[in-house]
Amino acid sequence: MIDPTRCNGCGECEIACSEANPTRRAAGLSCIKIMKADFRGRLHIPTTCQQCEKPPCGSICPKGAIYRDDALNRVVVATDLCVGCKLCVSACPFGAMDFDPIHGIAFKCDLCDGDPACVKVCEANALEYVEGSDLNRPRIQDSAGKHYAVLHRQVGGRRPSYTPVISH
Amino acid sequence: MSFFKVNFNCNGCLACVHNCPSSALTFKDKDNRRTLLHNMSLCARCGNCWRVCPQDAIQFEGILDGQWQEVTSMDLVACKICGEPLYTVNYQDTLNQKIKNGGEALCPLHRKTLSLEAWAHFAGDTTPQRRAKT
Repeated sequence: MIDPTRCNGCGECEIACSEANPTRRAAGLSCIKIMKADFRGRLHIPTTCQQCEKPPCGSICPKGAIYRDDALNRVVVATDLCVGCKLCVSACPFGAMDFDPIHGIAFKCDLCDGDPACVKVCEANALEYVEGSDLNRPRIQDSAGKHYAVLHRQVGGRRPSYTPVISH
Repeated sequence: MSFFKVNFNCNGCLACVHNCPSSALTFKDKDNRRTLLHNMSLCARCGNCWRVCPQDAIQFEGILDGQWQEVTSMDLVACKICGEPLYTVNYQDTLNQKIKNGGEALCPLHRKTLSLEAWAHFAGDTTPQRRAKT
């Protein structure tokens, strides 16, 4: 769970994410990124993979390299199957999928196998790791739907056919 | 005649370029056109490009010949905000075919900033900045 109102934009989560995975560390990349904006004071929004229930990245992957791991409620990239066509990068509505130019494959948040490094280092408590079963799902779904509707009215696009479900 | 050929399925995703073990493939983005190049004198004939191609677009034909040769070229689509070349027109078609409403042509960075706009809306700011600072 991400609470942007608590985030102070220190960037520790980005560093921890990059350090947590040896392949990402080599490329200096992180799965979580903090977006910063200047309206009504400073606003910081950490953005990362939402672990969609029906991931558009998975449905677009021509090699079937992205699948959903229901045990940990996450979406995973099979690095041995990924060929680096970047279709998933363009398909993700959140821009959470990223491309590692050194290894030539896509990478995304894998929740650090259930123990996210970003959550451990967040001093402002803006990040929290919650098991999917502990959440009030209908309420989250409703709230995410509203958020998405607003978002798409803003950019002048249609509402997409899938509803994002935040499952962690 | 070139040994390496691509058919109309090619969408310029560059998976073959990233996966070529002998760097015999490269690309050039110039004037809104993406050009795919192949060098027969570097090619190891391993067939890895053919194996990884998500579009089954690669064919082998003819006999070996000289230096860097143009294989194919196609138009590029740029990010709506920053103008960074994103992908080719054929690639966009593939996106739109596979998922309904393939989305706007935005680079990953500017796609992330969409959430900023939603927050701007909640904060009552009617003219959110489409600007990212990282």
